Amino acid sequence: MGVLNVSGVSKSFAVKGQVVKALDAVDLEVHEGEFVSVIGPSGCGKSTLFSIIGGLQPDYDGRIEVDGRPAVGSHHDIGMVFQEESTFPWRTALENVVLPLQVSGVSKKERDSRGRELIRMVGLEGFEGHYPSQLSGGMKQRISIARTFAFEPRIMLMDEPFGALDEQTRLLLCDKLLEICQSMRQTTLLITHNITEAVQMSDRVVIMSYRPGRIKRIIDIDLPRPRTSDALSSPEFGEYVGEIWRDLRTEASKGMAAEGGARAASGAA
Amino acid sequence: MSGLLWYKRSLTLAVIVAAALVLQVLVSLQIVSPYVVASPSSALAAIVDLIRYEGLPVLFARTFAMTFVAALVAIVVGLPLGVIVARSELLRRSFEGWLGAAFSAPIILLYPLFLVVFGRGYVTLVVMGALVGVVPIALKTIEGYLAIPRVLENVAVSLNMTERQRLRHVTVPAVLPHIFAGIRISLIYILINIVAIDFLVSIGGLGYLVGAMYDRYDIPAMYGAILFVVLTSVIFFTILERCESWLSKR
Repeated sequence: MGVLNVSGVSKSFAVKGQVVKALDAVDLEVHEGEFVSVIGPSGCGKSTLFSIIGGLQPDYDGRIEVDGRPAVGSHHDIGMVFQEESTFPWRTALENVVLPLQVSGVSKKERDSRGRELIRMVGLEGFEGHYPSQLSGGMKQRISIARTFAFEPRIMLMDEPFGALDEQTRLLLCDKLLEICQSMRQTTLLITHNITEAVQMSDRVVIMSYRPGRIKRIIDIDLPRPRTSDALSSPEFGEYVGEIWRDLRTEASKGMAAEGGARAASGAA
Repeated sequence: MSGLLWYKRSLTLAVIVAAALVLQVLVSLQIVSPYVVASPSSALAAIVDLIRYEGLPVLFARTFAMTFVAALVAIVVGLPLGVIVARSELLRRSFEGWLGAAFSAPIILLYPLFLVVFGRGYVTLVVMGALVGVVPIALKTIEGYLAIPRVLENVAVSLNMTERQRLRHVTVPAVLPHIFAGIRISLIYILINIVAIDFLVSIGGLGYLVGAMYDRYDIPAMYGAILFVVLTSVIFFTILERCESWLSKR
């Protein structure tokens, strides 16, 4: 049994008087130390799944279990990294990173020492006293990641953490995150829409269908570890990317057609 | 004092001194009429007489105290009002527009009514001051509350923060700058109202003194009294700045 089990999770929303099914009977198992990515077209319910697993969305059907025990609401074993910029602007980089330790009542001396260690781990040594407004987007996201590591979660849950960054920064940060996750054997569930990111980082890639979001296929990524962005140029990497895109293309086309139809209908109305 | 702060303060002082010198020259050369604007030197000289013969320290203390009490009442009423309205969508939809309208309403014109209700005394000034002060604090609190980024609240949930921890680490620091902006606006309105009504009905503060000097056509003394109104404002803003800086480090 996996450390994280998602069983039969379904979720519907009411949109303009109509019920829209976002997720339909999603089953997923993530094992200890495994890196799993969930990839799907826009509107497939990836972020809804992230919210449900993270305990931000209390109203859903199905079960979320951590170590075989039901996880209701936010869970102390699950740490979350958000897509949006989520640093606290009134706290310095160090103060941001140590927030989970402060909340848990760790002494100032101990949390500062641990915080500095984490900041060094994400490559931001020397920026401890900087406020988020003095840091770039990539640096802020590294602070958010370090903050989640400070939480010492058994499962790291990430929702498109590099989505708002430029390609070069994204590749470098993927390398950094991969290095950290590999060295710590961190169990991670990454929600992404980026195929190369999913292949580069993951042990398994879960492909989701367009609405209602179901698991369409799971692909094992059998590339040697430790991995870096250098792997991008290998033929095997390209084959995995092509294989995922073949499945994803059908779903993305469905999504595009549905969105186009909805726009035309609202335009006609 | 840090180098930057020292530099900023020196610059402020230099600008004030330079402006006073320019005004002094303009008035001395009668480019600006001394019957309309007093020269800074004559206004400063008049302050000595205001202290000696007109009881300036007492009048200043009264205006200061009335403004302080009115601001305190405005904070005590405006802050919870803002939080209550911000937390309830029904109340927000029902009252936010009214609060906005009250912000721009010339409440000062109701002073005869307040004189009848509360009498011709300090209470009227404090009540009218507090009344105009409540609205900007409530409005800014609502604005701050609604502007808390959803993602920060989600971070709080993901870190398993208790309600109290969320209030301390997320809500209060996020809303605090808005509240202080509201208090600053509120203070300006309170001081204007208290001095203006005192000017009109001579209750016994700096407004009364400005009015009395105006009636006597003692232009330097009138400007001397106005300088103390400005001083009141400067003192309050300095205190507020210190409070905000202290609270944001908590």
